[in-house]
Amino acid sequence: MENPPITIASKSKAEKRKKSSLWGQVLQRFLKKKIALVGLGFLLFIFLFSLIGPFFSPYATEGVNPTQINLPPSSEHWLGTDKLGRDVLTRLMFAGRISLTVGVGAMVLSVTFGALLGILAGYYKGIIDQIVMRIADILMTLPSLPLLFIMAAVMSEWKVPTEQRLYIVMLMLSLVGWPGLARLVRSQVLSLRERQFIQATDALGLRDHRKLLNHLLPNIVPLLIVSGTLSIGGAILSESVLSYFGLGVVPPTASWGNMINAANSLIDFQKRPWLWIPPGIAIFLTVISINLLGDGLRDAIDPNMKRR
Amino acid sequence: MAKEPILQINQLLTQFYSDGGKVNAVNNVSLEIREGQTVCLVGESGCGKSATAMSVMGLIDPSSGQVSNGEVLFEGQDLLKMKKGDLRRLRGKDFAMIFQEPMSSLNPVLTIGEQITESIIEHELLSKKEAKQRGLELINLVGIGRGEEIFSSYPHQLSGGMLQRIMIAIAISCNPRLLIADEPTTALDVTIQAQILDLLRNLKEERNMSMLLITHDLGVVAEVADYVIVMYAGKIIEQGPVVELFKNPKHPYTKGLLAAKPVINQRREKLYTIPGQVPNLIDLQPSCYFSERCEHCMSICTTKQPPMKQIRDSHDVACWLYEEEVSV
Repeated sequence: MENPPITIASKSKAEKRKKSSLWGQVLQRFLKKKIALVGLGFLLFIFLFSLIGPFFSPYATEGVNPTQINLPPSSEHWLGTDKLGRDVLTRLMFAGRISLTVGVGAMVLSVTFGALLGILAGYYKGIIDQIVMRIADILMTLPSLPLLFIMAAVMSEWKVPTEQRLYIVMLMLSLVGWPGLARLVRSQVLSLRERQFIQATDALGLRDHRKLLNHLLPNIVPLLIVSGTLSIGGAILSESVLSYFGLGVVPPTASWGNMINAANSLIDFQKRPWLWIPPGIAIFLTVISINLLGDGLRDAIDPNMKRR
Repeated sequence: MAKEPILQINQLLTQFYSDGGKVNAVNNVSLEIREGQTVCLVGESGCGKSATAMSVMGLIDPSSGQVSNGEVLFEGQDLLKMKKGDLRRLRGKDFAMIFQEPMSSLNPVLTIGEQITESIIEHELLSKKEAKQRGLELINLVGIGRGEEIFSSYPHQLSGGMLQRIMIAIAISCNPRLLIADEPTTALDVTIQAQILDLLRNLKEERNMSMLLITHDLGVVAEVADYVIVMYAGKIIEQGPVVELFKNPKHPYTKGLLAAKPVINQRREKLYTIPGQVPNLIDLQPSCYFSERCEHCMSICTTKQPPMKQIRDSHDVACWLYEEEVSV
């Protein structure tokens, strides 16, 4: 009598195992990493907070109100108001949109450039490799922060409209971000191209773009996911630094960086901590969660790595 | 049997660069494969069998070696002089290759289906759906059931024998006229070996393909070959039809190879071995390269290279032992 249920149970188990694809296994391993899940959870919270939070706020982002300036946190303004009477919480949400957009956008751009150039350099070697890698080397010898400052200063000099600064900042960040990634990708591709299955694609007479995109790219996706995730954190930090100095995203567009700029004034720093502590905490927690998530992903994608 | 040669290799010289200079991995090799014929390249490790196949496929990595001389005529067209794009269109379509290790010849992150349909889509301009249909037929053809399931699984989920069947399916997907199999059974266990060889032989007959089979296993040779070519240190030393060569081997090296083969029901204390090792290919003097290991070595063997001599109908040997017999 007890036999049938057991067979059913073992059958479904076997089926389950068979179904678990490469990514299924990665997901299973990832779900075991509690701390990475905390990071992911907080990131989701920040995303929702920034994206749909403003719809629940009674205040507009540019809602200047001269009668309610510099109010401390209260039940009406949970995080107080700034010197123009704008609600800090609402601004924090809008700033989150900008900072996250810049972070993700810069990551997408630098991953695209880095992966593309890295694959080309690694696969074709020779002159293409020389050109790409020397450009990468040059960019890596320049200290990135001063380089960003100079580019931002040029941008201000050319009087780039405030709305477009956002995109230019993304481009700038990806410009300093791609060389490291291109190096990683190139070294991976150099070892992959000597593997037999890449030789086999030669024997099959596949076109180069098929070899690069269908065979090499999927093999470096794990690398791209991990380093891409981690680079979002770096991009958010760099953007904050630039904006703090008034060189990145400039007011009236809010970003976490230029909100902290309030701490520049001694009175605000001493007497109105609600102006600069919330964006600081937002940056801190966001970057930490991104790093936790990235570490967790790396362990889940490449289980060999953690044993080293 | 007087059919047109489908592949003709003339005076092929393939060199690899090493610290000690250029190494002639394939040294003046000439051979031809006729339509529907199976030619076996035999020899021990490092004798240039695989290098020959790689040269034909144009897979010699330009940073480590090159084909320095000779021609590879595939249906009259010289593959070595062909433009890259034209060669690409022929590779995988008109001649295809099966590699030694099926486990490392398939991309680990792509499904079997994606890899089977890929060359069909590339060469035959079929839609994805038609290609999938063809892929499923191919999986069936190479003797694996559960086509749909295999189609969507990854290489690590299949066994070595199944992967080699998949490799064969990929190789024959565009109905090539020539199949080059580089030790297709070496990485497999014996029972699977026999199945794979049967499969290759049947497919070859069904589709009237020609086959260049590279192996060091004389059992495999006896089973499938029409014509056998024995290589040693980059050179062909003896060639002939399979029955003739097995019955009547001429070159001391071929005799040694055959003597080293275990025979069922003839239990011996120890298997015969050919003493010594393959000479270092870097500093070869003009001599018979086998002379150091040869029991019948004469003075001329160490100073002059023996030319190819025809002993009997399409049975050639390069050895000084037979030089006088024929010429005197």
